[in-house]
Amino acid sequence: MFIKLAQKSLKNRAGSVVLTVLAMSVSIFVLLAVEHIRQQSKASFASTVSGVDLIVGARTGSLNLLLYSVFHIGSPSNNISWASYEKIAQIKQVDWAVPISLGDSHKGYRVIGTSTDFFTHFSYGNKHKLKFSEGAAFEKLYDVVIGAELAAKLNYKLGDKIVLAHGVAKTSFSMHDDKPFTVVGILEATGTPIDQSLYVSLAGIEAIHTGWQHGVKQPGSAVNGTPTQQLKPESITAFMLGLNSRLAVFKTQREINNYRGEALSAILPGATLAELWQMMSLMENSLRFVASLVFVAAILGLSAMLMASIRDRKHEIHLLRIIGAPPGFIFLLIELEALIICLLSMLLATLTLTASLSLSHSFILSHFGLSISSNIFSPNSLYLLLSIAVAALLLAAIPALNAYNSAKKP
Amino acid sequence: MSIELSNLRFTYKDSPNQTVLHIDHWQVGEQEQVFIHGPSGSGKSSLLNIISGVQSPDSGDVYVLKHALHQMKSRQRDRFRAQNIGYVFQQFNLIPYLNAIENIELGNYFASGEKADKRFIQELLKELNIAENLWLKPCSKLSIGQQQRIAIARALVNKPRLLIADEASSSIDYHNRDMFMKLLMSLSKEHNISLLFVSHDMSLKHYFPRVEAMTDINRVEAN
Repeated sequence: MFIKLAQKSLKNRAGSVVLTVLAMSVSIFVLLAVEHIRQQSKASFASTVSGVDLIVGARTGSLNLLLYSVFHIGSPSNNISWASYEKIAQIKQVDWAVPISLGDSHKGYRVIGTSTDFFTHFSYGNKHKLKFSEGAAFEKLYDVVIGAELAAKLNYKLGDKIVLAHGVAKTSFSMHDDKPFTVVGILEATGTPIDQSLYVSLAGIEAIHTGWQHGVKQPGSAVNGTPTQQLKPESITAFMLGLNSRLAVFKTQREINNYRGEALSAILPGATLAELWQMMSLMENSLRFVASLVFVAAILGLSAMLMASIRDRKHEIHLLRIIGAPPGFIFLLIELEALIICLLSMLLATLTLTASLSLSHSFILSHFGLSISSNIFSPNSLYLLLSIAVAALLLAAIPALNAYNSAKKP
Repeated sequence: MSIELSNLRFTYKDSPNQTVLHIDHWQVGEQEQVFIHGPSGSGKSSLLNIISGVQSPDSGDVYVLKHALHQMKSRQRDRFRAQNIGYVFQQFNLIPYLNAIENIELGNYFASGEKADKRFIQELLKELNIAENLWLKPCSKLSIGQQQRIAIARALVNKPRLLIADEASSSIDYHNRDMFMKLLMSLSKEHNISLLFVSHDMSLKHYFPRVEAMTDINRVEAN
């Protein structure tokens, strides 16, 4: 009877209730979204690279190096020479080294020139190794391995021929169309930027640029016949190192930073991510702050709506009193109405958030290199929802007390 | 005795110097039908609030159906009122967004906390001549006459021993009012319920064997 009364009373005021629910759900949507994206982006960033001890590139800010080498965000400041790479790969603490060469793209997706060691040594998430869902690593000069999402989106199969573009812009006017690549492998989905990348051999990158000068194609030159081994690159963008012992990380880092031949930076991916979080925390906190202000505004709106309704319901409250309702019943009735509105708003907010996250998943992945899961129910978000409900009940206590008082004094 | 008041004093908390009610002694017998008239401000609503236990007096004894209301806690009085006193108003008798059955069930809910006996409710509605097609309509869609009859049904659902009608008939036309008064009188007789009818409309007094002026009961001068 109690719940029926609250339900029917809300239904009777459907107009203002719907508007309040909309206002509340917008604010809950924002709160949940900020919290969820914050958590997920951290998790996603952290899971993009694992098992790599050091990343080495031209001397630059560590953040910049991390972002362009692993997340494909921004552009490298300078290349490093192949000779330095070979020299550092020889250091005795180094277990393995994987070169990375950036600068080309295919339909807006990044092309990464690397060695086959990439597929054996690079790991993501909780030390997951890369796996091929179809085919295998590149062997020949014009072989390409593509990420899962890219394969699905552009509908590429093994054996398809694709043309790379010079530069990383979505629309490029200089195509390497004289040297098409053949898809030989498709990677399993990882939920990292790898899903949206293409991998070719360094020799392949070298081959398509032979005959180019200053970024412009020079006519009448081709290397179709040249064997892979002879196409040594002069320079690469960066390289990743795995060490024999983690204890050697700082020593090796220092060694590379003091490398005489060239100005290099070596960074620890984990430490640099921590640096990134520190920078982001100010923004995160202000986002959260704004989101909570929006929420406070919404529950104040809820209170105001209930408060106004009580003035209209003076007779109803008096009648309930006369037929035997204690003042506490009236108080709880208003609180229950607030709770119902709050729960409806939560439902609406979580549904829209889940829907919009799953719709925008690939957009976010391709533009920000972040994989945001559409499952928003983490312990953290449940805790947040609970506090939202508590906050709504606390603020609804104002109109509820108002009703209580008007019930006490007829 | 169904109502017995003695040495009663009542003031509003916001203006403690102004006594609203001062009654030396006043009583209503079992199954008596009493008409109380008086202008507004004469203390009628305060008297009804004290008899029904919505408010408690500053001093004095209030016995309703032999229960000492002045010794009860507010919660107990609420329960007592739900179980023993039926109430009919001039207007706003019903929760507008509930239907007839739900309004009557609500009256039962506060008295027993249990689910109401559906058959008994239906019998009541039939006895009060409310067509079956109106039972499930929201009460705001019904006429005032229909609403008042449903209100009587609600007042009777807990088989009360005292029925209070507060300006209950003035908002309906003459014909309906006559029907309503006759219904109220015969129902209270039939179910052995004491009836306390409060109104400023003197034309209704001929239905009642006992007529009292508020100014005679209350020793505070109306101002």
